[in-house]
Amino acid sequence: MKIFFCSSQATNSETDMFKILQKDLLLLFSDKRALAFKFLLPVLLISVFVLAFSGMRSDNDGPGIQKISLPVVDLDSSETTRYIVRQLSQIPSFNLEHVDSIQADKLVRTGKRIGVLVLHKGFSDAFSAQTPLPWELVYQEGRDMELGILKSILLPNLRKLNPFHTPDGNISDNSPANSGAPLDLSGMQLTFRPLAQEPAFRNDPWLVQPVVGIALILLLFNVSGIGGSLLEEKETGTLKRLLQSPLKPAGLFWAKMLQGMFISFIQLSIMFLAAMLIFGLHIEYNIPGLLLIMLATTFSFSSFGLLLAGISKTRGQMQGIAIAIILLMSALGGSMIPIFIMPDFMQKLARLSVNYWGLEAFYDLWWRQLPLRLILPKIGILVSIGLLITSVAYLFFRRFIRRLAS
Amino acid sequence: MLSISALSKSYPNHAALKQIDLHLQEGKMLGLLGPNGAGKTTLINILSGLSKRDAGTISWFNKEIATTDSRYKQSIGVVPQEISLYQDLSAYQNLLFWGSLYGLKKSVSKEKTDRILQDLGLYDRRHDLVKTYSGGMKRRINIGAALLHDPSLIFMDEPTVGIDPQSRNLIYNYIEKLKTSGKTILYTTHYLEEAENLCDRIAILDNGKIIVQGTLDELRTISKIQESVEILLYATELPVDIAAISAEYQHRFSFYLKDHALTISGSGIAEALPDLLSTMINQSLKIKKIEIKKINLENIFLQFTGYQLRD
Ligand SMILES: Nc1ncnc2c1ncn2[C@@H]1O[C@H](COP(=O)(O)OP(=O)(O)OP(=O)(O)O)[C@@H](O)[C@H]1O
Ligand SMILES: [Mg+2]
Repeated sequence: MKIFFCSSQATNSETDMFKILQKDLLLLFSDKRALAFKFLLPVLLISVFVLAFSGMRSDNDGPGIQKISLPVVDLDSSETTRYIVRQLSQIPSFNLEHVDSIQADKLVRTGKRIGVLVLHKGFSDAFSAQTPLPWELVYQEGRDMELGILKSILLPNLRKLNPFHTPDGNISDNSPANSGAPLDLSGMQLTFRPLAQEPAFRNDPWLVQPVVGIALILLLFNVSGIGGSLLEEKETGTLKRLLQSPLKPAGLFWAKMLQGMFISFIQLSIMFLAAMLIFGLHIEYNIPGLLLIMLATTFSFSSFGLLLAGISKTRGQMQGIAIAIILLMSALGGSMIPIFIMPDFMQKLARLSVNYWGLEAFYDLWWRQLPLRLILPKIGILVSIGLLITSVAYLFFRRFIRRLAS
Repeated sequence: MLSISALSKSYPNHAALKQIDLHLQEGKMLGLLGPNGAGKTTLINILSGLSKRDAGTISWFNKEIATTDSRYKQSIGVVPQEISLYQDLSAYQNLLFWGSLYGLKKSVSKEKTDRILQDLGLYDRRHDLVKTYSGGMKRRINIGAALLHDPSLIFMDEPTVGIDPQSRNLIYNYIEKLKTSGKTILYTTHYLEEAENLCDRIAILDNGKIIVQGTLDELRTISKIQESVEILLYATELPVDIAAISAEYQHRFSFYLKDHALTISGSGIAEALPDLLSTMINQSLKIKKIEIKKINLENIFLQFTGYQLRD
């Protein structure tokens, strides 16, 4: 009797277990949108990571590899310089651009290019005379890491250049038909010169990257929470009550926006201060610029949080969607993997993510240490993205309210 | 004060309100009595500017208005059926917040909050988070939150659902107080006693339609229900030969026997009762209990809807 009693208990709890399981599966499958995100997310995320790291892979000479754009200013305009430029343009890792010195200066100053190769007047003469060559790589201060990558590609290739003297002192292609002694490579010594004075302090990009990258991810989660609070108000009935009061729905939207911006601003400030105190990140540099970028970032990010709320029906659904989109945008936009190690096409794709523009603005500020004037375009883009997302979010919000009032 | 005419509202596969005509008199309390799903909340949502109506007009002081009108919204207070409060704020903070939406000055707001909390018997616990309140306490705060801005027109959607008699009495007393201060109240309920005891006028809403409205006396007259007497017999007396008893009175009263209870109704039943009883005693029926039934809302509701609200 006793055994019978026990076993019947066990079967009961087993069937109970399946009942719970069945109910949970029913709930899970009732929300198709969240389900799609749940299963699609890992695949997408892995794809983004694989592609982002493909620039670092050893077999990276496929079409997707990272190409470095290198502007060249040929001030000598001689046979010799044209020959060297021609040779350089054969290096697969380079995307050589012919520019004049004004364009070159602008490209480097705005941080669009790491550096510019300048072949000064008299290059050909110096070459013939075997005196040190007047050429240099002018680079933007503070981009040491990217410069390192550039050097590592450029220098071995320069050595491989191996031009030959012709008897008349010019150089020619390295063909068996030509005779003459090989060029002394020490004469090729390239000078590296930073564009401006070194600043008093410098932020390591390997510090800026994790601080800003992670800060932006957390910001996204934070603003999605603000969006969630809108859905929470719907679920707890307070939203209905708000709509019965004289408050205009638009007021509610902007209140949530401000809330998102305010909390994000504080969150960013705390994270940056901590990074300064603990890791020595220099944030004191260009405070107006910092405040502007923070405002622009919190604005565009908050609008994103409201958009998330607008496209979701419940908080549970929003959570699923938010995690998917946030991780994807963060991976794509450089919050998790530095943009500068991504292959070229991924760097282009990254522009679709708000993280990218936030990161870029902070890079400009703390790493490239550009003057505010040159960071303004990126701030402008952040604000424009914010305006765009806000408009879409507002349309969704209107629909959300209309449905509630139907 | 507020007149609703030919108001209709349909959901995708359900007509929730059908051609509602309703009139709220200034300073009076109208009870909207109806079972679950009758359309009470739908009506309140429309009147409070939350939901749109499909058809019909709403007039406020004889002028047609849009329910989104801000002056109108400023003058109404809505007690929603569900507890709609911020559970992680204290009662005090909740009241201050809801008051602030109506543009109350902080000092005024604080004073009113204190008074409302006292009236609702929650002053001592005002700084506790709402989520730590009992169901009845939450209900009371839910009411208080609608009243900070001193609205002249109050909609209450089943404000006493699911609470104990003590809390309920507190709420009733508070409502009486509101009534004496001249508020106009629309009160939905499915409790007959509330409608009967609390309200000046009653409207019965069933399946989206107003079946009848008026004061209790008016409803009595309209319903044409008669007074009745219920006579409970001993079980051993069954079966009863009704015909023998009723023969003499058939033209005046109606007889209805169910189990051991004989219900006799018709006007003047009380006067005819001694005669009736002696007839029954002559038939040697033993009577266990006699109950004279007044015409109450329950009978009236049954009369108009064909079913009992208590079922
Ligand atoms: N958003 C909605 N969508 C579809 N149907 C609805 C919606 N809201 C209410 N209804 C339907 O309208 C009818 C009236 O509902 P309502 O909530 O007004 O009833 P009620 O009288 O307040 O009931 P209760 O006493 O249960 O609160 C019901 O049949 C309900 O199912
Ligand atoms: Mg209701």
